[in-house]
Amino acid sequence: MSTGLALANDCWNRIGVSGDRTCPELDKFIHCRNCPVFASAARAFFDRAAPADYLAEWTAVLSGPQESALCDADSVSLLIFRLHGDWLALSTRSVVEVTSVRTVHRIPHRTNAILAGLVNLRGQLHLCVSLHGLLDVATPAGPPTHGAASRMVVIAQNAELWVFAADEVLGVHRVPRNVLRGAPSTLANPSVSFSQAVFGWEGRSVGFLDEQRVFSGLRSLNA
Amino acid sequence: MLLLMFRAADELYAVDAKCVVEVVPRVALRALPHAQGFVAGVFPYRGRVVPVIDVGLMLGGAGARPLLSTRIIVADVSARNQLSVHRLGLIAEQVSGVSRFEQEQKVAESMAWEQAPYLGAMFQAEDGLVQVINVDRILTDSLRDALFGDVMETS
Repeated sequence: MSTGLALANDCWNRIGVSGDRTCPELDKFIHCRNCPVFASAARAFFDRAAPADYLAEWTAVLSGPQESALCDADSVSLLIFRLHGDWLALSTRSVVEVTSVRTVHRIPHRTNAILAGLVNLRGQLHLCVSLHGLLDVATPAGPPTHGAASRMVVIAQNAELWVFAADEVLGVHRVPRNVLRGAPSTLANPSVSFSQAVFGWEGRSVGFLDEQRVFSGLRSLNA
Repeated sequence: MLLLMFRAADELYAVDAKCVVEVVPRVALRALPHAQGFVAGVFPYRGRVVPVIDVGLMLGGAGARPLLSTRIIVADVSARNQLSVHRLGLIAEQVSGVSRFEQEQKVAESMAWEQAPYLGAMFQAEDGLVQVINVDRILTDSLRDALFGDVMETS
């Protein structure tokens, strides 16, 4: 389609990435799309008459309600992470931050399978717990390995903070509610089930943890 | 401060990005009979009616040309009682993008005279001087009452 626009200087087709790549500016900008000459040409490209049905089409679009994918009430925002072989998810609202792995300082006579010790987060000491222990995720024998994918996850409820180590964090994702399935009782831990639902995510089966049960489990440590 | 830059009456102007709700393409405007020349009309915008002002005409220059680069800036302007906001459209050419300006780039403080109380500070941009338009001062009280009446709008 002809744009009806005479491009006075289409340098990107001559000496830029679509041409012979001899433009000296390419050293600085690497690709023409980062170059201000290309940006101003792109802006000039829009200085032309609109197609015939342009006004009517946009008038119709803007008179309707706003389509917003971000505020979808039928989905939940989850932080997906891995403890050994188990993929789990926590509601984003209970997650404060995900940070790099730090040294866990053991507390003499108090450290057990669930309470791992204390960690220093920007000068403040926080309780570090082992979700592996709380959820009874099988721990492989031998010393704990901190792979490159390991992260510390900080969770909070009612101003109480806990830190736990995850073997991998996939990030925050929005999951439609209709893919959440009730957790089968056979899959859950026999004593207490911490999962409220299970869903499939990119070929993995992810357990959606019930934050209330996790926090009450953690709180019973302090008692 | 973050400014949304555009061209009107052959010069560069900008509005504070904080008050901008959305930049939308040009639409068919319904004319308002007997309104001042720079009131281009109204259009239905997401369930409400938004009046649109042609910035070029308001500044005493030529109106916005019907090009693809001419767009409508939908902005929030505070109502007379300062408690609620009205939504106002500004039609301008080459609504190109937002740029960050530091206080050091300010070359002149607000230079607003009686006829144009909306003219604000001037900044030095790469391709010329940019003058900030204070959207809260565009509408005179009588024009604000005429366009929005007593309808209380909240954002």
